[in-house]
Amino acid sequence: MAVVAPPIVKWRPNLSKLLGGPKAALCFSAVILFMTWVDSLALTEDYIFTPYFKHILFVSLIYSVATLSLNFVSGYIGQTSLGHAAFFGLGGYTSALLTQVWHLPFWPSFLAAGLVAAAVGVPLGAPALRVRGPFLVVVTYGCGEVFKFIALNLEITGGPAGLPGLISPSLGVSFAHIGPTGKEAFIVAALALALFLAFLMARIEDSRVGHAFAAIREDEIAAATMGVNLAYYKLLAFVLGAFFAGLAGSLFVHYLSFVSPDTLSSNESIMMLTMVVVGGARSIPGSFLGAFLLTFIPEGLRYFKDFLGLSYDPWLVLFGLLLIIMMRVRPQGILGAETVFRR
Amino acid sequence: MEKNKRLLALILTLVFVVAIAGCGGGSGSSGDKKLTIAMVNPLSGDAATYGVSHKNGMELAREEINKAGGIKGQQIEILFHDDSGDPKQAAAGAQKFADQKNILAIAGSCLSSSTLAMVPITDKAKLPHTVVSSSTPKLSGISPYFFRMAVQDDKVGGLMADLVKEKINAKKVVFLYPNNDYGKGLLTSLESRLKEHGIALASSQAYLATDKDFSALLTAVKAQNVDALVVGSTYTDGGLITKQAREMGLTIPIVGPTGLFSPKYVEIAGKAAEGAIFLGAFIATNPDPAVQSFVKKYKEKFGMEPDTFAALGYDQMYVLAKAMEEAAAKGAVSRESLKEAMAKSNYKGITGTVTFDAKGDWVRPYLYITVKDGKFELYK
Repeated sequence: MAVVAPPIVKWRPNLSKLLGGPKAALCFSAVILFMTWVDSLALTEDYIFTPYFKHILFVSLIYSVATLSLNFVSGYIGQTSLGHAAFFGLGGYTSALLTQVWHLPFWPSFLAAGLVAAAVGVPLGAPALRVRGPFLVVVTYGCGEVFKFIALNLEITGGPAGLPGLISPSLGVSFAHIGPTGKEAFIVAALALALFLAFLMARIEDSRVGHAFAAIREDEIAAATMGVNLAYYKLLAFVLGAFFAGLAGSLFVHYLSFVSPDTLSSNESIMMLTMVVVGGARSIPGSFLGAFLLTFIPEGLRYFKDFLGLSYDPWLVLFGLLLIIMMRVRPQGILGAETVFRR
Repeated sequence: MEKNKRLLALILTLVFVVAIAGCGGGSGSSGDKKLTIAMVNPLSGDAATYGVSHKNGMELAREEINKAGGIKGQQIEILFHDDSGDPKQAAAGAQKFADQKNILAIAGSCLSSSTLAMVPITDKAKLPHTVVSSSTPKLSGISPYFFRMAVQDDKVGGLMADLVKEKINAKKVVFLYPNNDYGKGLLTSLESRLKEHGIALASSQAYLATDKDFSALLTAVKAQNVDALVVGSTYTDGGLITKQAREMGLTIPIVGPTGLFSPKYVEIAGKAAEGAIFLGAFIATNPDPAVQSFVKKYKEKFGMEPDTFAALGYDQMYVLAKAMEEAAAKGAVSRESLKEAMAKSNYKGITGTVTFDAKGDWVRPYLYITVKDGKFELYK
């Protein structure tokens, strides 16, 4: 008695493959660049894409980098980290201090931001060698909060008000003076960073390192038995993630020209992890999707709220609902990869 | 499986439509005969109490102005953006309003960090920007379009020295302050103003803002035999200092900055808070008829007693309206003409007479507030 199995629809893996390809990356970049520069080409008085829209676009791209970088830990080695904003904010503070106190130019400070975040990734990643799952969540959350309180209480970091008046990056011309709104060059820089990271991750996935990550994620004991150096690869995931989060943080604070302890807060970490969860762990297009969805939806809902005349922000309700539905319907995220082994 | 997929597709489509529709409607209508201003404030989250009070105060004033005929027949309209206390969202809100050319001015945020994120945007858009708090010295003179209806932290020390001179008539005082930018700023301005008044500063001692035990410091204060104890604290450390000083039998007057004007201070210090004198911008029990009329109207509309943010928001709306009137007298109100008029503000409101100095700060006298039977009242 053979039971007729329902035909397995393969649309999702196909879609993921399509979105993960170089053509999709090209189309994505083309759309972003078009939205960024069309105003400079058009000779109209009014903006086609307002500075506000470009602001949201830039924030989405920065979060895409943050989400991609969190994927090293929360995707590839499958550990939940709630301290990722610490790296992001640390990068921000590092380049803020280097440019403001020691008057270094932006680009060396930008690189230093990544390196400092990566260096801190080692001690922050070290607990991951011993603890896993919920315990690691607590450890990373705690570490993240420590950095926030350091920034809140140190004098050099400007206390709760933060450090205003950060310089704008420049390539001969200051980024703030390029384009009609001064945001265009930042968007291009963020896009370049995101694409570089996406390319790097796509290359890593099928490399020796990527396979080691997968082995650790699926079964640590088996991986160790096979001769995978657990400590090395786990720390590598943390350090890589921290490095790129630091770079994103640096670009972000120089865009705002301001850094405050809020960039280090656990809310930010939770938001980044949510983007990974919604978009899909271990999926490069998924990271972009998560970051864009969770940045654009709350802003869109503001108009929805004004339009309906609601007295509360529907985002707060929908956010929770969205997570519950995601967990019930598709726990690995919209574009998340299937695990290799089912338990 | 099939059902799940359809559900997911439905949700996603809905969400996308909402998001895209939302972004499309960004330009806003330039309604006829309306003067539009905007507010960015935490209306949800930890700091929502400040933001909502600020909003209520402004709304009350706006209704009054509109009922009285508006500005030359034009009604005032306010748009709101909730930043949840997050500087990133405050910057987005500032940018959104800066893009809408019909918006003439922007108010908020209550939090210094959010305001610092907004100022580069409002400055670039040449959009008048006014706040009622955000007292960090970093905002002084940051933009010609920025107007702060608050005394910056550094100046508060001088105002405490005035209090010591006028109300206590002390000859010799001691100052305890938290070892941070705020405390040090207070020390500098207190020291110089005390010297002007001919009052001796016997000693000044720094402590960590997180300290819980002040007995060693207070023993030294007791030995110095001074006329008053001046603190540069917020309610937590200030409350503990007050409590421990009274327990030690120190009976000299305790003087503090605006940070002590909080119910938490009385909660922490308990009975010891009685008689402490500190600075405040607004108190609902102020017998001034203008204040009482405001309190009555506010209670009727919102069903609760107005706090400092509500009173300042009320005055802020009137300051903006007066500036709009000035600007309207010379032609159509624009961002530029409103800024010019704002800089010349001189409006007597319920929290004092509002004027701005060259750095866009309000240099103002404070009310002197004390605690009696666990309640705040004006010090006489």
